[in-house]
Amino acid sequence: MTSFSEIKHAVSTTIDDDRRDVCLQLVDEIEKHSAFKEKLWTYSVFSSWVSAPEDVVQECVNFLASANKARLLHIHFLAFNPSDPEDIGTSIDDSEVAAAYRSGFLYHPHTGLKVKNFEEWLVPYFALDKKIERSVR
Amino acid sequence: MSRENVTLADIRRSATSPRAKLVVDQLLWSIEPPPYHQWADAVEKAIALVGAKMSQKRNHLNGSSEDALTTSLLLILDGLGFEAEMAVVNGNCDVVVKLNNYLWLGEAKIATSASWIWKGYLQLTTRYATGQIDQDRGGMILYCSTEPVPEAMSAWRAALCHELNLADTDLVNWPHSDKSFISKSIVAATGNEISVLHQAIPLYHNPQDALIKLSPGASQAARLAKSAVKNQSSD
Repeated sequence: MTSFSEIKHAVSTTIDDDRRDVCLQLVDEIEKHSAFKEKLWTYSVFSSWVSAPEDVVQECVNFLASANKARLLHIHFLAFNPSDPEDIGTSIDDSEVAAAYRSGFLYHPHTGLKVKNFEEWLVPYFALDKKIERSVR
Repeated sequence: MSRENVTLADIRRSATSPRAKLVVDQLLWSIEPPPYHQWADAVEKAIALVGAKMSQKRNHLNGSSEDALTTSLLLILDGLGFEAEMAVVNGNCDVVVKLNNYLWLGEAKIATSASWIWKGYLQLTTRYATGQIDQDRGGMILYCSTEPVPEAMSAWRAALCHELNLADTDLVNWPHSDKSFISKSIVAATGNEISVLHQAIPLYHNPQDALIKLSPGASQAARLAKSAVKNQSSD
């Protein structure tokens, strides 16, 4: 899938429940916002774009970032330092998160500390999937 | 962004339905692919979910052809984020679910008779199955549209045990659905064992509302009950 219209078609044909309209609204909003320079979004940003329960928005975002035929987004993470409540988060390479899933713990990118319950300290954010990004340019 | 933003752990916690959990799994697999057995478990849970969803529309689906039913099944699997299609794998396989080099192969049949399902079982286990590592699970998807699931599945289970010379206890009940069981088979080409999920999809639809009228005895009982209440309130 390399265009917003193809993604919308895939969403329309594969989802037949309450998520469809929310997914389509999200695709429209993402298309609008993809014209801007800043193209990184969190779940909170997506929630502000559509009026739907938070869990439905989250599920739709997850779908658009994972579905084989409607992949619009790619997930990345900010890592937070568990021992610093003022931490503003550090961008972490996807490969380090992948390694954390293999080993069961994450090395914090700044402190080097081993974080066991790392999902509590990772904030996902999303960018356009590379194929779509190329078609937008 | 701040720590107040939604964390990955929050996302897991808020995904409470089986469907939402599957989608979170798929999302994280885009970062780190799971081991084959974990992915195949997810495919099989998804097929059980799809079955439940199709069953809710059995008034529309009953009477559909095998291909039409399988198209519906594939679309719903797509809607759960899986890469699922009809494709050529040693022949035209009804359900091919893929992730990188992982494969889960399915043969779909309307459960009209044990002999018809047996034909499909042989297609799956002797024609399509590769028997390769990370490709050693699959299933029979049985659309039970002509009779209720217990009848169709117990007949098929007995026939399969007879043909494979198995005791009923050799078949494993699958914990995620009460409408399925698992058998094992050897793929001749590789000598490797494959696991076959036999998943029933309840599509039998035989509404009685237009056929059966309330019996005279029941109507009489209703009248008596009503007059008893009236008499009580007038006393």
